[in-house]
Amino acid sequence: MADVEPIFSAVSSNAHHLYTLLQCIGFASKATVQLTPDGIRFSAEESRVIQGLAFLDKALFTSYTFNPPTAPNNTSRDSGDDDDSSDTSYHPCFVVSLSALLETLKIFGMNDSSAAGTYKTASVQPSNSSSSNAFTTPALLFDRSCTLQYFRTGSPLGITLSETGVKTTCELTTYEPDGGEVDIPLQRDAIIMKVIMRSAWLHNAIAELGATNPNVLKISASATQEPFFALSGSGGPFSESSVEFSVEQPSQNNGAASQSRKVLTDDGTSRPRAKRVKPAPTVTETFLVSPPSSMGSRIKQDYRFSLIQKASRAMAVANKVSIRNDRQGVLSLQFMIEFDTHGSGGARPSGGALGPIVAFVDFRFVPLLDDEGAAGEEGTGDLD
Amino acid sequence: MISLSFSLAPEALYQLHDVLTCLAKFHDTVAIEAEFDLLRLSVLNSTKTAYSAFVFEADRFFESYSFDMPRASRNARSERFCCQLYLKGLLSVFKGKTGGRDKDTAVERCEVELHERPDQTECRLAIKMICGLGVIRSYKLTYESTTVNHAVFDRTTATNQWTIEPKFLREITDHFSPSAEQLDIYSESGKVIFTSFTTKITDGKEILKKPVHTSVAIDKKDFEYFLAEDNLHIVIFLKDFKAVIAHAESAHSAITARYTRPTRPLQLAYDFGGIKTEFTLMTAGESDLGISDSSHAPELSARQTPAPVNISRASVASNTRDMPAPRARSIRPLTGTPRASARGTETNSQSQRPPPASIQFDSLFVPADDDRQWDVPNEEEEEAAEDRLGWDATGDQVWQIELIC
Amino acid sequence: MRFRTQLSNAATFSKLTASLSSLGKVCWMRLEDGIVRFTIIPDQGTQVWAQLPVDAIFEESNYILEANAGVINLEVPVGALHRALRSAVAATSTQLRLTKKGNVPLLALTIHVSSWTTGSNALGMTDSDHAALARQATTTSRPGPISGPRERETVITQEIPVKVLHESAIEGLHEPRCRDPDVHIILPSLFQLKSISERFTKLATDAKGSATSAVVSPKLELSANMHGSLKLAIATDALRISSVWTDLVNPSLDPGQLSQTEIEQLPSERMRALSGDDEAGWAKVRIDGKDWGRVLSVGRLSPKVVACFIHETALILYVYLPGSSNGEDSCLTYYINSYAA
Repeated sequence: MADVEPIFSAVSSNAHHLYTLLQCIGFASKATVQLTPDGIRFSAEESRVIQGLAFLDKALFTSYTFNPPTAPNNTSRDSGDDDDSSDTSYHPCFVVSLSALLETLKIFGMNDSSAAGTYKTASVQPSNSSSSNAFTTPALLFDRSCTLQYFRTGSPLGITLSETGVKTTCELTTYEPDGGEVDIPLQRDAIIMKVIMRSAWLHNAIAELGATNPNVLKISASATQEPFFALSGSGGPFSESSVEFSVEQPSQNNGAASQSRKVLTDDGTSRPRAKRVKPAPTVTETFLVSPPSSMGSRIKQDYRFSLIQKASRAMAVANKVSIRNDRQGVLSLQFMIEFDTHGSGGARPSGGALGPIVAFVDFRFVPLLDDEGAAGEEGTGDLD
Repeated sequence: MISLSFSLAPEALYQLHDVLTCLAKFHDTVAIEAEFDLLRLSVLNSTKTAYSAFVFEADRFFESYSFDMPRASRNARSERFCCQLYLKGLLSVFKGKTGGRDKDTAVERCEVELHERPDQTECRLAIKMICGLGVIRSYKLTYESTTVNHAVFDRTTATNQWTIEPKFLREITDHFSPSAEQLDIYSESGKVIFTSFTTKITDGKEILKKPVHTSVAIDKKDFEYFLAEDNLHIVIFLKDFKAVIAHAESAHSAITARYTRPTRPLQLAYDFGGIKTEFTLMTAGESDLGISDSSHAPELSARQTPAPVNISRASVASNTRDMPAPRARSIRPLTGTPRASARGTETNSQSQRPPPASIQFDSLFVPADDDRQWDVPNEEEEEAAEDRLGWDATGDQVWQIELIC
Repeated sequence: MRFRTQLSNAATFSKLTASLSSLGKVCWMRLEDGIVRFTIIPDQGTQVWAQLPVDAIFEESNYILEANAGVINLEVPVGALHRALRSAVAATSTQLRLTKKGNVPLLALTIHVSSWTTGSNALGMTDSDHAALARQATTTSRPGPISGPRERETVITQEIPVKVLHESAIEGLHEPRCRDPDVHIILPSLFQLKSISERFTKLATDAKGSATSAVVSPKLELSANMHGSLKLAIATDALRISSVWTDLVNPSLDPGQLSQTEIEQLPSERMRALSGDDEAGWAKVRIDGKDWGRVLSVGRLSPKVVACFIHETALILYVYLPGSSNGEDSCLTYYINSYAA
């Protein structure tokens, strides 16, 4: 066994990247892991009403080796050998303790206290993701590595953390998936709302609403009528609260202040409200609402607030979020997280160009209400 | 229709948050009183030994302020509107300096509105935070109408007064054990001595569980002003004292204390930037001797450490503190009419009165012998109330803390 | 019976009491001529026997001890003592004495703290205000006007109730005796060791989840060899994790105390003879994760710690405080039992 090359082996010089992504879906204690040639997919779910998915792209690793096993383990033993074995290579899938994995990754770099908090603070400072690693200077990361290994089907998932003077090895027991992990389906051909904005705005809004302890989060969006996009919490003990993303108006009171503020679009030009074709909230980059005729002009959907809150960590660390709703009411939050390469101790630049590594974390939520949509094809979804 | 609306600049929001944080250390509900030129937030703690009030001046604290009350609901005495809210709810709205995290959507203005119509049953306080980039956060808080009592404190009769930077007081309380409950204050020659102690009843065998006594002596010169009778011990609850210090420190305001003698209230006060504060705290101490303040002091203070003098009494007091509040939430009049109150509410007031033994460290508002002073007349009857139960009627009993409405 | 002294090193005394208080509520404090001992014997868990020369924490010239047998034994609430000592850390001088109030013996600390202030009259009260109030007041202890920076002095007294122990109460108490260790090794950074140990303990606790066994603290496996390696490990259903430190020092024993042949016959020398990758060269103990975390809180004193492993039996830590004039005399000895597998 020792001579055989492992199915999977990957080395990272910055375990904090892995930790940052995985803690986004840390609401569940276990995660299903799938190894693929492009990266590792971790998914976590709870009661089939919330699902979180973090993809550790191979670009996050300094080396990434994946030798897909050529046959599923049950056939390898008793089926009649050879034939088309090369075609039956598959992507191994298993369940590990996510909480244990996260705790283990935290051991890495535990002596430099500044590093752990870096991402949290950086994220809500939306404008400069490139400074997010200011404290994790490469010098601190010399002599350090984090290796993930999976030898063969059924092996534990090995994590080795090496630092000066001490080496920590963790073997996480791998369990067979019980087959119950079905993705919450998002009907990609029936998207009725799509809003892209800075994740920090969503994070702040949910944090604000969360302060009043609501039971239900109501999402309300309309392309034609105010409020164009609003989140509100209800069922809390003390109050009702809402956060409305409106079109910023220069008011008489402090017109000067408002006018001096500019919204920067992607190309860096300012975007005065008057030039917009359709009215859209000032904070949104993309704002598309097209409710089916049965709904009237406004989309309204309710979700359990406590579930949405489970995505808070992702909201906090991400740069952008795409908020989508399909006709069935399934809510998709897709988070884009940028890692700066300067601090990552030589992570391989993706696509040859130097620049931030981009990673995605997805969340899906089943709406409240009786309307329990079935079916629909699985969508992986991208920010496009 | 009663209508109140005001708006706050970001700086005022932070100040309001600090105020609410301070008030929440005393009780879980706050009374809000609107008048034409001011807004008052006050809290009376459940044992009625501490009353805290913050008065915001309409033209200095707010960006805009308007209060309108129809003639019908006014009377000569009171042109104001009172209601009460849960502090927890208010704090969640005004919590922290969330604007600090990202400047783009920081709060630019806060608008608060309240409209009360006779036909409306639901009472809602609407708060709107106008933030940058068109983000608007709004909240609706449920309130209850109420009548509000103020603790009476006559500053002109306070014979002892001192003023000091809260920083010095905080340095003192930092030395105290976190579990210490009471604080004894007295002066002796050039020093002022603060002693923390706890009057837990301990088993004779369990010496090691007895609380640590801590006393801290500072120079009178550390006070901006100090004029108090030497060797006059006055005892208050440490927790209340700390709550005041913490807020005064955040407001960068020197605290002034005024008092006469033990078992009469002590008031801590300071004013800053359009806000006036007062904290009226009931005191215990070597008191009730019926002697004039000057005669007894020397021999009593002889060479005793301050705390033991007070142990027996204060321990009773701490029991008092654990008594359930007569009414946990609202401070309402006991009875319908002032006239009835004199006799007719015996049972009611009985239950509210602490056992006689606890008088030494008593409620601010429960005089031993006259429960009329409990009564807070209903608004409509205030005029009449004033006639019968006027201030002057109790003028010779200034030492009894009263409520005024 | 008399005891009075001046603190010479309040910071060390405070950290020492903090470390002790994490293991037990009461501490036996034994004052002798030239030596102060602190002992913690909890019902369960690690025992600490600490011995310090008087000058490690007190001023020797001001150390006044008068008692029948030249010894005073006190039972001290060590947490309260620690709390009180915090006031003394920034002090200009601190006196400690044994006194009595009523029937209660006390350890009394009298602490003088000086600070500098820019004193000013922020209230802006005028002299006439002062005068008006002065007329009303019964006494006129009014301070002069305040201006300019000046030194201010604060005097803090902390009175900690203690119990004086009769000699008969302590004659049954003896420091544990153990056989010669199999492995002795200098521990790595206690901060790192503590962080990792706590992480492991948490991993094991989490793994148990909501099971009723949550009350039972997880047991860590700690092992070391005579080739500079230390290993910390824990295993649960969900994972096996271990951290290995290498290139640590196995201190040599004082040749003055033992003859060459005696040294050669020590178990640790037999272990040293085994090769570095021989499993038999490792001595192992199983210790309670939470208790171990409390033991490691002694790291705040930044000491040098020699760990002595008695295979499957016990772990003894010799904690040497830095900085004292005769370093090795200040020693805290921790006795930790190994749990059975």
